[in-house]
Amino acid sequence: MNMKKIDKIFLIPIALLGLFLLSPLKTMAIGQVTDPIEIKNAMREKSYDETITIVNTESAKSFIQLSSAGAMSDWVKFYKTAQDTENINEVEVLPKSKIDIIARFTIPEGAPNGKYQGYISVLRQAADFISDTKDSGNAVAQKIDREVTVEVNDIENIIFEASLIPEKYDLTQGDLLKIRVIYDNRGNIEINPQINLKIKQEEDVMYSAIFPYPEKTIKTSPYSLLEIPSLEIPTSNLKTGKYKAIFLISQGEKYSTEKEFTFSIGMVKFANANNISDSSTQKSLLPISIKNLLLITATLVLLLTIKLKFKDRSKKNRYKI
Amino acid sequence: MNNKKIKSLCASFLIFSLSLTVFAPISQIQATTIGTSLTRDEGSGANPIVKAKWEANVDRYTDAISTAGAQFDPTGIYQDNKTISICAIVTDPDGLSDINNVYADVYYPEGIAVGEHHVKLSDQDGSTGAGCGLLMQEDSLARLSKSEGYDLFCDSVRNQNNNLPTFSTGYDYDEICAADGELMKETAAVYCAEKDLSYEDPSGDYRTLILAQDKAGKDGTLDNYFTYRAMTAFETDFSMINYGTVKLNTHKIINGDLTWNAMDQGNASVRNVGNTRLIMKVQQDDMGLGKTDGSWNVRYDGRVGSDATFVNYFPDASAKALNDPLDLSEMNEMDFSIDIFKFPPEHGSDSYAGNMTLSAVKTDHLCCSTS
Repeated sequence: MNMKKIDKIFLIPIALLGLFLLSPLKTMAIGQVTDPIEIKNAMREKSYDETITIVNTESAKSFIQLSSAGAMSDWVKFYKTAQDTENINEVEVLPKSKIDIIARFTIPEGAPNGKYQGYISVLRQAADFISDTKDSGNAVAQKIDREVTVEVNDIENIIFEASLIPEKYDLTQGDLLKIRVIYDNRGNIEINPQINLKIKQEEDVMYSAIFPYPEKTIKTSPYSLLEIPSLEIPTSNLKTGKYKAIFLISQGEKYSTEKEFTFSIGMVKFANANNISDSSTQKSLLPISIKNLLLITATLVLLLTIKLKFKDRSKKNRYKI
Repeated sequence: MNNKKIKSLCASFLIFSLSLTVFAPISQIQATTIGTSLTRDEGSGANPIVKAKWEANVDRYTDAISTAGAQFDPTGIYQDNKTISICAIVTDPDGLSDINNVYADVYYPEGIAVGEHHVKLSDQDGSTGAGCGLLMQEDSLARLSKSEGYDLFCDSVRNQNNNLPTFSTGYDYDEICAADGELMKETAAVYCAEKDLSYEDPSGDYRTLILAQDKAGKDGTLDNYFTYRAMTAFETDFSMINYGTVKLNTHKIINGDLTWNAMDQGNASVRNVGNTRLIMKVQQDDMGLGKTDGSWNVRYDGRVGSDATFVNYFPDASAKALNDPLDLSEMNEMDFSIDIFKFPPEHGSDSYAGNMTLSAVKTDHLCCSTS
């Protein structure tokens, strides 16, 4: 047997073993975020959105079926996004990825006050059981359940947080003051407040306006977050200086909250972060440690000794001459 | 002084200096065990101040949901960790150059035990154990450049995830991001580090402490909690249960095993790959065996682990919970059995096929012992 043949005899099984070890063992898996869903003070004929997070841990895409069970099972419909109006019963999840969908709970008109419990489930269906012999058996599907509690009553509960975030805090003269408006509705009724804005310089009111809730924007649903179109305020009439923007967010006498922030016009000429010098990247002079100092001194002394010896020799050589 | 004298003086100094650097370590090696003690020098000057801190995904400003503070989802994938970033804004009244180091200490959630199957990541070396509020790990934070830090906090965090940070009393976005503020003047800076959470680290609230220490040993701290959201997930190495040939009125058991096989190539095993404990449930149809006199012609059993007692169930009943929950990252065998009381004569063949649904529901974490 020549060497080439011997090599093949050894290499082929090693390569096959390597391929076996490197190829991942396929598993069947499913996952869901399972923090319990609790909708408190739910009101009849109102809808409440909850996010469902599903994980496909496999290396192939997976179709996940959505369902509900329990006392509230008829109240739930699933949507790809909060803006969608067509509900879904199944969702495609890409390989090794996560997807968020919306479970919308709509409380029926005649639901009596009380606590309703059940589950929201995600299910990965299995292929049919097939056997090439006369064996009997089952195909195995996988499911994850998430607990749900809906508490229905008649009490209106208004809790919300408003975030008003300017695009820039330091404007140049003539810039528009663009303000993002985000409502975080934590209450059980939908909200559509108006915004009363005052821009003040010290105690003087320099600008005042009322912004109604935008007509074409959906109301902010209970237990949801919504960003409405930005406010745009011209600043051409405002002089260079520091200002305070004060907002009153309200709906009649039902509810109101106040927010404020400060901004400047024409005060910062080089606020662009790109122009900021990075002194942190400059090298700083660190104090020399005692050990290093001794080593430097020793080196200097060594050099001095060599120099003196060299001088000595040259003197001796001179005397010889 | 003549040259000879200078030379001898230099040589003596040279020998003395070298002996200090060369022989000192040797003398340490030769020393026998002695008791050591020290008293911390309280130092002088003012304490550093941690103005704000936050945790986020690796981009340093996003997290899983819009709730205030940081929330993260585990991967739900076996041995696939979740990397998070921890950042802080630190200043020192004695100047930023007085800051010696900034550390982040992450603690396991309080009152939650991880169980015997949990395996810590190699760098989670803060304590000998895990869970029950123990220190998970301490990491050093690195200082970002001025522009990087300013853009991160005053643009990305402030505008896109406004309720993410925790502030020390007296500090807010306006103070920190002002045009004449400390980030601009570089008397404060942003420090960040990355940290891995294991796929199986328990769901719950993790305390994170930022400790800024100056060169005199004085420190400033700020702490908060981030949430590792509950993810219930499991995987199996089987997609079918083959009962083989079954005799009438003979209880046939199909055993699982503790080996993770290639798909459908061995006995059945199940593994918890989420960050909650979970209870397995099972539900089956009648496989076409039907009913006689109103009673099912078949009954099944199932269990997780060979120590648990079998739970029996009939077709089409609601999902039956199996005994013994799966702890964090626990892998165990799944045993099933079938008992057929009558083969329906109208069935066209000797083989019967059906569907089984394995489901999982989250259950409470293990508690820490009070001792």
